[in-house]
Formats: sequence, structure tokens, C-alpha cells
Amino acid sequence: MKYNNLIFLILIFFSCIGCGDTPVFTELSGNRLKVVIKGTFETEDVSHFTAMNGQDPNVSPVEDTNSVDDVTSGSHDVLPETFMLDIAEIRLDGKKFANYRTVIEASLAGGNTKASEPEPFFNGDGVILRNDDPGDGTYNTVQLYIRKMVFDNAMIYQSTGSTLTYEKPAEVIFHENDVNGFDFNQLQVNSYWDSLRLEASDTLRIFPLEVPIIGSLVYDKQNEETVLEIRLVIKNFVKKYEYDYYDEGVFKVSHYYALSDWLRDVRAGENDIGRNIHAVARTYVPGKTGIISDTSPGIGYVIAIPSGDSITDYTISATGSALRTANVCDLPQGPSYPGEYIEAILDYYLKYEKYKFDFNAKIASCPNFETGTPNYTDEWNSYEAEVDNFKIAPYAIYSDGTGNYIFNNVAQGSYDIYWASVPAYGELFIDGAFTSLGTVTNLLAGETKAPL
Amino acid sequence: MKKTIINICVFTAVLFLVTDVSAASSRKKYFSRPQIGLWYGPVTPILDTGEHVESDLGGGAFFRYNLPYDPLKLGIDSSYQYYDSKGVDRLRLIPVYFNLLYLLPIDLPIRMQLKAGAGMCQVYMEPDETKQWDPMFMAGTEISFPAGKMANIALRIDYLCIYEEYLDGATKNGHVINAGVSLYFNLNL
Repeated sequence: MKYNNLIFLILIFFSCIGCGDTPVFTELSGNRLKVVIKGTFETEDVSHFTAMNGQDPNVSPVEDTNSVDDVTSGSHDVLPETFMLDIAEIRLDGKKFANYRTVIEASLAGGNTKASEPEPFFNGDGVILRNDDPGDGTYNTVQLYIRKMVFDNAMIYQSTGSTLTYEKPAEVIFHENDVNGFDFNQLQVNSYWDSLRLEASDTLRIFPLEVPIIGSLVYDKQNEETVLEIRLVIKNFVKKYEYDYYDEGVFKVSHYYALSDWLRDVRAGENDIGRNIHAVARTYVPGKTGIISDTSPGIGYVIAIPSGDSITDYTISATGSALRTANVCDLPQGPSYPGEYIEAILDYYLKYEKYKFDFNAKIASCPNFETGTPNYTDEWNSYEAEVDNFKIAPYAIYSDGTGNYIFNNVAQGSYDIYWASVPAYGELFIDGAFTSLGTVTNLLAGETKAPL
Repeated sequence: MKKTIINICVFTAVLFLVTDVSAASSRKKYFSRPQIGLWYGPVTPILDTGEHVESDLGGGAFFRYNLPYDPLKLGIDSSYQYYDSKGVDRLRLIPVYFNLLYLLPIDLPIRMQLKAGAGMCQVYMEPDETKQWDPMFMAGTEISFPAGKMANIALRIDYLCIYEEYLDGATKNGHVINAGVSLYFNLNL
């Protein structure tokens, strides 16, 4: 009889717990978050930056003239033709939701019209990244864990006595295959040198690449679909750099292509190129978006940023090169020890003598460490404050000056609208570049508004 | 193929004939007692569920009590099942259900039982962190090998359907197969 009581209690337990209302197994097989990645500054368009194709790889602006100094006119240098990207995983505010590898190989040959740009990565459509949907909540950043970023057509030049001559194309393993190219992902760090003690520490900028979600992602399963769009400025934002190294005692130089160092200037002899990937993410729920449309004031870019954001967050006060030159405590880096080969070691001591000479010349203009003016700490802090907070607009579109500009799929909210002329090749925007076109206040779903 | 099947049948018949069937009736008495036990073995998502999460190992516990009609027993069964996936999805199931077990009237040293039941299943999904109870149904079979007066060893296989299609927006149910080896004891209550 006591067992009958037990069964009775269990039946009461069943009747009390109640059933859930989330179709878990349907959610498991479905996908409500659509993650799209694009390689253009433009939100929903092809790149209208000054085209890389047609330029000379051996002269500025494609060649980074203050980085390339050993082989200033590469006999075999040609422009890159393909961009390769290998993404290991994506996370939202550090939470795992998509550990699917995505490999993108996109031709750089396309033009600046939708018809002439077949690559989804560059034509505004974007490449979809598979994911398993996050939990409901608000997310402010998306982290891209990037294994490799490669531009092809990197060339190696080697020392043959007194000259550097062409040896062969650089090779790298990409997606388990040998390809011609250079993986510049490995150089996406920033080094902080102690020039006196010849020490440095690195800040890794790429694993993960922290991308801010402007306006935050508010993910709710009540919405049939939510789009998270990530943009990296890749197309027509490419420069050629020089990577110096020793291979079994032979001095070699690799000419490779990577993203423009407009923000953090890369100089001769430096290998680190971190914090030069410009990335932004925005989010919207299809069917709950509005349209911002008006007449364009001229040829250039129209951007929309959340109302109240300072436009100076989207610009820097001078080009990265000028900012770095203005930093009087930007002391030279010492050479790295090359290993066991006598010629390389003799080269090292020569370079070390030059380093001491350069250091002594420079340290006179930076006599203090923490107090006094100028001092090392303040100079670097002000430099970092300028370059580290730069971001790009969540909505950007090219306006050819002959008709309307239109932002489709704008999330509900208020936006400040700005216009700027097209920047020079490999550059973005400095203070004063943007002209205000007004504000769109409280854009609601289904509305079309112009800035006032 | 046909010859092989006939050979297996003949071999099995001979095996049963030479077994000490006289002991079977006494063992049957012990088997008719209330029972409590544990099981452990592979848990396998199937159909739609199997496309998203992968097999793993699970285990559980059960208790069975006699009913007035001798071949029938009423059981309560619970287990812990955790399913991983190639992505970040994870699924944890804790089914709690009643079942009726019917002992097939075959007078052999082994016991074959059919079972069917219903209950509730706690479903927890990551990374959504959704946790809820869903109704569930089950059907299965079990072959037991009595090992003395006290213990039985069994092979069991159950199909569990976690029913969700009645929910708004739901198009799928959960489907898993539990197989396992179980050890359970006859209680002298």
C-alpha cells in the first residue's frame, strides 16, 4: 500500500512541473540568426574606393613607401588577385555559438558595379557564416577567430652578395593546400618595445578580432529571423609591405600584400601590422526595418551613425603616419639576433651599431619617462588614444551625386547622417572630412525618412 | 542464407533443450518480485534529432512493482543523457516515466519483456540555455538473464519520443534510442 502512496506522490510531481512552451527540437534544427560577412566599407554595395587594379605595385600608394626599403622596385611584383580568409569560429560577447570553419577565397578582379563584381564577399550580398543560434539576450561585440588572411602574389627576394634578387613566389598552406601568397594574419599584432632593454610584448589583434556591434544585437527567438552583418574593409584597401628575415643565414625579403596601414603606420624593418583591420557589425530584424533616403550632396560616402555618437569616433585627427611622426618618443627598434650564421651575425652587429646611432639621435627629443614635457608615457598614451578608438560607420553607402542615396534595412532608432568625399587610396577619414546632413529621428519599421 | 538461418534455429532449439528447464520455474518466482536496478549504455539520437546531435553514453535507474495480473509490472524509470554535436549545440535529457512491462509467456531461462510507457522529460539545450519539461512516450524490449535469487542481468533497448509538436511553432519531436546493459535485483518485499 505504501508503494501506491509513492506512485501517487510521483503523479502529483508530474502534474506540478508543467510543460515548457519552447519547441526545443524545432529550434535545434532551425536557424534564426543569419550571420553575414562582407569585405567592403559599403553596407550593401560594391566597393567604390579608388580601385587597386590598374595601379603600379611598385609605387605609392599601393607600395607602402615607408615600409618597403630593401627592394624598392620589385622585378617580379604584381598586384594581388585573390584574397583568402579562414575563420575558425565566431563568438558573441565571448559566448560560443558558431564553431564552424568558414573558408573564403574571393577574387579581387571585380569592378565597382554590381554587374562587374561576381564575388558575394565584395558585392554587397555577403557570405553566410553557419551558426547554431545564441541564447536570447543582448550582445555588444562579435569575436572572429581568424586562422589565416592571405593575399596572393607575394614574392621573395634573397641576398646574393651585394644585391637582392628575385628567388621565388612565397608559399603558404591555406585550407590544407599550398598556395602562392603570404599569411599576414601572423603579423596582426602590436608590439610595445622597451628600446633600452631590447624587450617587447605583443598584443594579438586577430585571434579573436573584436568587432563592435553598433546598436547591440538584441536576440529574441520571437523574431523569425535576425541578421548580424559583419563588415571588414578589405577591397581596394591593400598595400604592399616588406618582411625581412633570415633563412639559413641568407637574408631574404618577402614582398607581401596586406591591409592599408593608414591607421597604425608600418615602417621599414617592422614586421608587426596589427590594428589595421577595420571592422564593424550591425544587426536588424527583417520586416522591422526602415529606410533612410535623400538626395546626395555630391560624389562621396554617406554614413549613418547612431544619433548622439561623436563623429570624431569615426575619424582620426591626422593620418596614422603623421600621428606617428608627431610622437617624439617613437624610438627605433633594435635588430633581432639572426642565429648561428656568421654573415648574418656580422649583419646584426652592423645593424646594432646603426640602431644605437639612431637611438641616440632620437632620445634627445624624448628626454623624460613619466614627468616633464615631452615624456615617453604621455606621448604614447595620446597616440594610442587617437588610433585605438577609431571605428567605421555601421551604415555606409556610396553616392554618385546624380540621384538619391538610400539605406535599406535600417534598424529602428535615431541616426545622424554625414557625408564625405571619397578618401584617397588606402585611406579612410580624418577629422573634418564629414559634413552633417541632419538627423533621422525615431525611424520606425516600414517608414522611409530623410534627415532633417 | 536460408541454410544459415535454419542452422541457427536448430542450434538455439538444442541449446534450450539441454538447459536445466526444471530450474526455470523457481527462477520465475524470484523474477516476479519487485525489482530495482541500474542501466548503462549508448544513447543514440535518431531521425531529425540524429541530424543535429551525436550518440553518447547514458545511464539510469529503475524500479518495478508487481501488479495483480502476474505477467505485468509497473515500472518507473529515469536516466541522464547528454548529447554533443559538431557545432556548439548540446542537449541534455532527463526522462522520468512510468511503463508497463509485460513478461512474454515463454518458459525459458531467459526472460523477455515488452514495455511501453509515458512520462515527462526534462530537456535542456545549449547554447540557448532553454530548460523545460516535455511529455514523452516510450516503447521497448528487454531480455533478462536471472543470475541466482537476487540478481538479474539484462540487455534493454528503448525508443523514447519527446513530444513537442503540440507547441506553437513546433514541427519536430525528439527521438532517441536507449540501449544498455542493466543489473537489477529482486527485492524480498
